[in-house]
Amino acid sequence: MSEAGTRLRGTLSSAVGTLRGPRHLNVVELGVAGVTTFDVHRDDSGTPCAATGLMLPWRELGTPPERRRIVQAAGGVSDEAVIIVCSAPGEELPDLAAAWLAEIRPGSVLARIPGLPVAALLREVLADEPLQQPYGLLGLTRDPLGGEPRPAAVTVFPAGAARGATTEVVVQTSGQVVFAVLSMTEGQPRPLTIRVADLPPGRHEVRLVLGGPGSVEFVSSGPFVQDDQGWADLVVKAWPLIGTHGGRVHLIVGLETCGHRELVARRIDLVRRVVSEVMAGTTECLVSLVPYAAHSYNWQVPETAVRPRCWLASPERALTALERLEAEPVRPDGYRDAAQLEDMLAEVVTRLGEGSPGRTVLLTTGDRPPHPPGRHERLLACPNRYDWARQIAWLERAGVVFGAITGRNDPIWSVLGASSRARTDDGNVTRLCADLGLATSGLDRIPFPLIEVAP
Amino acid sequence: MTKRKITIWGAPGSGKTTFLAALYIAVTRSKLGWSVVPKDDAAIERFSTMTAQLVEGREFPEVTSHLAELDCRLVGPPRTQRRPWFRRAPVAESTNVDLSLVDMPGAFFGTRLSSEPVDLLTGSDGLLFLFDPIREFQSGDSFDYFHRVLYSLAYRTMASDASTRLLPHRLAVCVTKFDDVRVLATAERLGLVTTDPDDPYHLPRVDPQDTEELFTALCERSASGNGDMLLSMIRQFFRPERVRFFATSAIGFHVDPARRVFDPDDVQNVVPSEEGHRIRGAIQPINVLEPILWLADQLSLDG
Repeated sequence: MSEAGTRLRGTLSSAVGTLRGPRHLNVVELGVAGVTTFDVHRDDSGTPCAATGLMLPWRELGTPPERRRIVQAAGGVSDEAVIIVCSAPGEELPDLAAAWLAEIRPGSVLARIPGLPVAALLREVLADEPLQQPYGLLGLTRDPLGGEPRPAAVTVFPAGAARGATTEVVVQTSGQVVFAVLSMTEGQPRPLTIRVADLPPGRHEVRLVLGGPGSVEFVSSGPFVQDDQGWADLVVKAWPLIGTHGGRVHLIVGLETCGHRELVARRIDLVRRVVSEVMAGTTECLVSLVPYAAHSYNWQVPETAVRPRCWLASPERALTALERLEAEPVRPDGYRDAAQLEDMLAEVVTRLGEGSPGRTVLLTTGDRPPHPPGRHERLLACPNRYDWARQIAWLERAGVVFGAITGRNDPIWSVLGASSRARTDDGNVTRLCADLGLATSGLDRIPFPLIEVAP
Repeated sequence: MTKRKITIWGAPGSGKTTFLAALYIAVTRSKLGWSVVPKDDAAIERFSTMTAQLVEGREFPEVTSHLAELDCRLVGPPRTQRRPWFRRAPVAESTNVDLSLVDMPGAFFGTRLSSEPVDLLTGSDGLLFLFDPIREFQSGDSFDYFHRVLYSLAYRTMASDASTRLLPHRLAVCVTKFDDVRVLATAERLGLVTTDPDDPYHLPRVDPQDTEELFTALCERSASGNGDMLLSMIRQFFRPERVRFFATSAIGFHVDPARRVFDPDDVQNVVPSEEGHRIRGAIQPINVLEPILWLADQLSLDG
């Protein structure tokens, strides 16, 4: 490769290396035939990728060429970083377009390298990019205290690992086994590679080879084949259920107790069913009950602060607390467009800050949205100025699993019911409990390998 | 003393009755030294009922279904009168303006415009037009309630004096619901919000000289796209010096009763309720008395 090509490769590498979050890098190739754009960005798993736009022939960009159409073909005018590669310097149209684009985007990089295959260079640069997140292999690990093996993600490639890196694990298998490698992205790990192997019973050494970001190959005594049985869906669903503190679950119930009497009674009944399912299952569970209602905003009606009725209690005690709550008069309807949901979240965050034994599930049962922390067009601000988005971000970082029972479809309920959602008018909570790992862990349906020796 | 007639005019739901109900509170809270004295039993009854609804019931008065004329006297602070040199001392006298405030249902100004509201407006000295920007944003029909009336008024004026198309009236344009977050946000975005240094709560205000800009910006957000024609018509039919704009709120912004402070993050003084809407806290009218005083002052100049 020419010196200019090597320099461009370095520029592309450092531009890709600095891509974070929603930022994009726009690479524009001005060739003999026309304009080609490459939209370089990171996907949800943090893997850099380049979407190639169609090559637009010069004849489609006006005769004589129109500046506006060329700018548009090159991705328009945006704040994203731009690298312009003129692979046909000396040709009239590529030179003219390069000059126009450099003028309209003064911060852009312009390289003139005759005959450079931009797509191939970009592929190489992306494959050589070191990992920004560690990669983990999902499997069962032995409980040091002698209990049942439990699912866990074992780091196989740390952040910074690059193409060609290898690692080995020793696994115990019997029959068909699912090998799933995840990008351990903060908050929401993403499956990268899922392979199925039919290995004879016994111990096997498995070598994992990193082919670059997003690419891991498995080498062992038997063949590894593509997943064609939908294991990926199960792995994605099962991921939140993987805890690191043993099999114990802490179920926190946020329960909206304002509104129509029948609706409140229905919510209480559904929560009771969830707790009963937990009691009937094999999962050891502690329950916290945090009812909340409407803020007052009425000087004649004093505000009632959100306080748990029970915290880290046995399911039996939680059922008693629910019974007492049911016997109480329904709280005033108050402000009807929202509820103290953000106060409930703040209370949960404060309590969880003191520690939580085991995997934590927050089951929110209600309909009204939270109040905003400040001025809002439609809703009054929370009197305590709690910011529900910050509370949820904290809970997500803490690995809390979100489930919801609601009759509403507002976006907030998609967040609060991220792992599973049941409808208030549907009496069946079995699926909800299974999804949240409250009754039976969905993981037992996936034949993971038992990891005997990790890297 | 000459009696001056001020007629309140606006689309249904623009807050005409609430404006009148808040006038009594505005006068009481004002430090300008004015008072409003109802002049007959009917006016006493109406003012008392409306004020009680607002202050004690925290409810908005019911929509007006019939024409109501409230006779009252605006009694101003004593003014020192200059006396001839042979009088020993200056004498302080109160400024009194007799007013007849006319409240009509908004529907009177609609598509089936009868002669009654036009007669009343023609016979009025001052006009107080309430422009509800939220209604305009949602329904965009202020122009419908404005142009018919204005054309009828202009027709009658030209019938009596063909030399001019300009109306003889003084016009106070009140941009209502200034306490609504959307209206306040527009004023803030335009950099028009100030505070009165004498106001202990530093509640937001817009100076009358800046309110035309707010009015223009809010008209641009009209649902029907007709809002901008309101300003054109005002300019066509009224002398510029006879028009003044006010950013008005009958109930004002919310002030935390415990902390006694205004919080810019929590401004709304209206909350939804089963009946529709309820007033949340103390009523602090903004620019309710001021347009009346301006009209009264202008009319006294005419007199």
